[in-house]
Amino acid sequence: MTSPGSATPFQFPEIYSFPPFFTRQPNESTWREQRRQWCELILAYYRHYRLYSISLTEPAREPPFANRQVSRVLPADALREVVDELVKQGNAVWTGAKNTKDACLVLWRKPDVWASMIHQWASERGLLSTVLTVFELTSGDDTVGQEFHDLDAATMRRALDVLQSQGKAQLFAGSSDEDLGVKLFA
Amino acid sequence: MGAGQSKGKITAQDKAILDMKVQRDKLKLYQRRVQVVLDREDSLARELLLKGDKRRALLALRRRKYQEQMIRTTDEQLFNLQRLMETIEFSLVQKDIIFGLEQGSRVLTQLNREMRIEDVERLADDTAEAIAYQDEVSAILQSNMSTEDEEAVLAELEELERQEADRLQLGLPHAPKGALPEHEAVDDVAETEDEEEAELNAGEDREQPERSRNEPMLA
Repeated sequence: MTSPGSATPFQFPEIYSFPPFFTRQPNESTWREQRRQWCELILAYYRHYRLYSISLTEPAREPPFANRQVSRVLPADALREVVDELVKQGNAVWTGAKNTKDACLVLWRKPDVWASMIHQWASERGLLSTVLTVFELTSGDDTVGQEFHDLDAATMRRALDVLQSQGKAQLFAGSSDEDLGVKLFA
Repeated sequence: MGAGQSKGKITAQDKAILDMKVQRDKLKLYQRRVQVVLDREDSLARELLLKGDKRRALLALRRRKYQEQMIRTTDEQLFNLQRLMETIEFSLVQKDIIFGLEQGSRVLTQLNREMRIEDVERLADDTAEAIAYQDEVSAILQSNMSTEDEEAVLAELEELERQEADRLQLGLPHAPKGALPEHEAVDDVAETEDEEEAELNAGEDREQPERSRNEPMLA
């Protein structure tokens, strides 16, 4: 993959310049197709720029949800439906307070994939069964160049939770609860 | 990390190491922050110099010097912390090795204790004391063995018994296999067997009956 904050601009699909793309189509099967394309666009865009969250508290003004060239914005309600679909696919989770659909975490790579990347890295480096800090995994000098370097904290936590549920990791806190450590196992 | 530790267990040691590593992370973060300030100070000094504000440019440069010193200090601290962590982790590895060595030497002494010549000779002895000893040895060995080992041993015993039985059978009439052969054929077989028996008896003499007496004990 390209480096974080990719220098090359994202190549929008043609449909992004097509004004009706930003209006929820009343016909159910057309909407299904439209929704599928929105899901694809969001995942690709978020992966390209390594973005992780969508906030729905304010009307969207930025790409990919808005296109200034055609002066269109995807309305929040339609976006919620799109995100619902992403959630159903396992590519997003609602993170708003009290289950409100105000914010979501986009998982353009599923946590179990991140999990196996992290595990592979640790076992190649002979770091299994040693204490690692979560900070070390995302921001340490040793993970520079790894895909999970600079991974957002919530996604990292989900990946580690996957490893923990597989019995391949144990998360624990030291004297402060904020700075978590993790031990990975074979 | 510690020896004999069950998987997934987090010890006080682990927590202590984590605390140290968190400190290291904090120092690194601090360094990165100082580095950003340092870079800004540098460009500020250039800007001020361009504007002709020499006094403030000098101040910016002084501050930059100070920040550089801070980074150097934290570098030293980081190095010390890193070394301490490595020492600790290495001693944990050493602890594991020592534990392994201890176990190895314990097994070795146990083996040596069980490998005395008299004991081996006693195994071949037939007295009541020796039989009691054999039972004891086999009980100890059994408790130290995995089921696979035990199965392998039993299979080996079976194989030995079979070989022994084969050898004995050379001296016994063959059990008929399959359909009964014609009379002539039976006579032939009986004849060759008689010869074999004669040969065996000539070669091994009185050993033969003794072994047949022992045979049920093996089973």
